[in-house]
Amino acid sequence: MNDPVLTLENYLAVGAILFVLGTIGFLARRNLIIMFLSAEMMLQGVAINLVAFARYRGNLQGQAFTLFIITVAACEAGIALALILMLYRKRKSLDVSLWQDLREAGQEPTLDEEPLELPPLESPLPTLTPSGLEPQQPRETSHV
Amino acid sequence: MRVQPPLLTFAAVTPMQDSWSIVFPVILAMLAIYLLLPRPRSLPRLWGAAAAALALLLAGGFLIARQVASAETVLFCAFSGIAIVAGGLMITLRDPVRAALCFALVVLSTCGLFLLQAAPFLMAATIIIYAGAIIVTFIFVIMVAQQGGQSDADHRSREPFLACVAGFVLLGALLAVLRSTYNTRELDAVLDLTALAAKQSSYKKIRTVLADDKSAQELASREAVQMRDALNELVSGWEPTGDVEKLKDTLSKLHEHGLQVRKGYGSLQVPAGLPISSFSRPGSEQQGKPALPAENVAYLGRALFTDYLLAVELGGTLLLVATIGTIAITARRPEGVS
Repeated sequence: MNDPVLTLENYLAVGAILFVLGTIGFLARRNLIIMFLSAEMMLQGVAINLVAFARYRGNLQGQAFTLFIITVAACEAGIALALILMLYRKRKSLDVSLWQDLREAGQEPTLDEEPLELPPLESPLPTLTPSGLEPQQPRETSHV
Repeated sequence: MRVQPPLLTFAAVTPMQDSWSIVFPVILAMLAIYLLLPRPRSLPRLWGAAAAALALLLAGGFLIARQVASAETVLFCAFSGIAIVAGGLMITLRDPVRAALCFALVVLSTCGLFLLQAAPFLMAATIIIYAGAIIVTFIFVIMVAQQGGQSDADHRSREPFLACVAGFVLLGALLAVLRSTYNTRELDAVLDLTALAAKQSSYKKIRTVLADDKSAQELASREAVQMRDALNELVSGWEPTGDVEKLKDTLSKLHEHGLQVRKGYGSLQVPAGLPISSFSRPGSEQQGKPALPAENVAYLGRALFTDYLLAVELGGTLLLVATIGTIAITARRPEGVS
């Protein structure tokens, strides 16, 4: 009966889903770069919310706010990447668990027990056809 | 009767039964992400992908199913679907380069959603800044810092189960509140009843229609209760011998008012005549407000440089400080010099 069109609910739901995916990525992944990408994805979810509210209220305050979010995200990305590079230079790895000596006092360190899977076997080395006897080579001799 | 369109009412005001339907797709999605997160001995990925697809279909069914197929709906489904799938891939793929490309896809489809919501300037700015600058920088850093082969960083997760539970409990709560806030089923029923009563031919029949409806005791949403009370008051206060046509006229007016309230539920159709922002009113040549996408850049600029002037200055300062900080952090210093 009442004309069904897209409502605020749809956009808010998409924003919430992106935000939660970003949260899970930030909590569960161990690569520093992917952790920061997840944080950026949370910001994207918030931006969708703000722009949807801007349209719902019929003014531009939400859009202006989103512009400031983009500004702060750009600053954050620059500094985060600089920090990642510096951390990589110290430990030669992007694994965030290598920095777990920064943990709270009294916490047990987490250890990786299960070994990583071996990489799949390469195809065996190529075999060359036998090439017969080695021809006689002139040997260098010295008469000292 | 005076009913304000709600912005966000608390979930306690409206019934929660309807929102239980969201639990199943949320649990499926949790299972999918849990199965797909990287770990040394990977769980069956095909099952995870199947669970993810099923969860997406179910959630789409709940959120979209009531819509008519229009260009906006189709575009919304496409953009949001791509954004969600790429977001899921981003946190589950092992290769960081692929994850960065998936993030670019998330950003691009978010830009599509911005465009659907009448924000063309933000779309352009996001594409230029995120997809143009940030992604490229990320990929440069990955090229500098990534080493080949398997590594702890990419092939292990930290507490995947707890992370999934935390995230999806949050998501379930958010979606349940959204559904119960924007639940218009009761108001729709009362509106239907009003329209039906306005069509009857005599006062007696109108009373019978209202008496036959038993749902009045169970109404929980505030607007529906107010509407129903107004209806009862109007009909029972009417002289039985009075003018039926006038009563019917009043009933249709009530119905129209209710429709206005109904449209206030999360409707993205903008009411006319509001100022762009609290201080920057449209110029004198422009009485009322143009539809939102029109002159987006001009009005956004006006809002930025009147209402948010201080914030713009602070943002510029922040960018400058961040640039200097980045250079200071990455500069290589000789050993022993600090």
